Amino acid sequence: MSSLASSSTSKNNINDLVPLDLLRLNLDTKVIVKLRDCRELRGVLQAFDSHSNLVLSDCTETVYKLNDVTDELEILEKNESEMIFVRGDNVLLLTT
Amino acid sequence: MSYNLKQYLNKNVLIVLSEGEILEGKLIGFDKHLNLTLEKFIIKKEEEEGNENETSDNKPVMNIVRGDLIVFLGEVDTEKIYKLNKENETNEKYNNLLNKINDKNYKFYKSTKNMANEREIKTWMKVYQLRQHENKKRALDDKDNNEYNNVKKSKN
Amino acid sequence: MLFFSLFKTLVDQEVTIELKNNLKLTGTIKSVDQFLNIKLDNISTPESHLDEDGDMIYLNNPHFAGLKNLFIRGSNIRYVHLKKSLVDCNLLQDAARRELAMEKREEK
Repeated sequence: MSSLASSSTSKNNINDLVPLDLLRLNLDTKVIVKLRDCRELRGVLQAFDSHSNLVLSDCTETVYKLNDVTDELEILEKNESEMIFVRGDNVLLLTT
Repeated sequence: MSYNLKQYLNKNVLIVLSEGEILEGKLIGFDKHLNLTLEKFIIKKEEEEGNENETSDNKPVMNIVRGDLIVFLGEVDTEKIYKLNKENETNEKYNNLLNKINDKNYKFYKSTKNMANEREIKTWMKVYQLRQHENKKRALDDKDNNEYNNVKKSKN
Repeated sequence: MLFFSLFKTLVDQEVTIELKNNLKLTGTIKSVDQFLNIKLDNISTPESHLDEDGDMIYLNNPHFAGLKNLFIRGSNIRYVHLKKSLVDCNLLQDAARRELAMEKREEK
């Protein structure tokens, strides 16, 4: 652990990084957000807060659904939005 | 801390709850948890005789709605509704809607509760399988391309 | 507080709010509070249209016909669709960084 800490050359000490720093480092880059209700958003991260409320720009939403009869995966809709605010309680995970 | 609901006080409001129930009544009070007190409210979803709380003997009926169940509330323009009802009495489309309102099994609004269900988990599993399949295919394609390139190189 | 400030700058602007019950509402924000409860005016839904008298007709949600304005509880919101021209992206990113830094300082 100590070697990690001493080897960090950036001004951020690795011990000081909190999970939300991952969001900070991904500001202004393209991210994939998975949400409740089988939804997925791809867009550029513009803002976040500690509740993981997000603002994404140039965002596409994909909704996944299982067919009621055959149980096959359906990719339902692709909604585009130039700027979208996402409430944090829907967010499952965020990745790049 | 308080909610800015003063404009709705003593007005007729329509409230939609998280399980899709629709209430209508006169708002007479609210608190910091958005709990509401209503006078003379009607449950629209289950408009059975027993549930209709509009009493004939002019006694006010008070009811409390828990704040965390509320999805939205809006002020009802009673005159406009009256006008619309009168105008649309002969309109077939509108009558269909009225029938839907009176049908206690018909739900206009879905539940807003964040309940995890098996179906959602299953869906994500299928998405994951799909992605894995795609990745494998891509890896194979890359391999093919590389071999092709290698053959090309060795020929040269 | 960052998003509270953001929505305060959007007062009197038109937005589309998508609720967790899949209801989509378009309207002008009249006020917003710290829980992100939102008051909307001039509500319309994707299926609604104006009839010849200028009355809004709501096909799937007839209850909206007599509603003047709407108070939406913040916890039921899924998305808010905004117009890009109303938001300054650089300012937003900086604000997010600043807010995180501030929270970290408070923890210590």
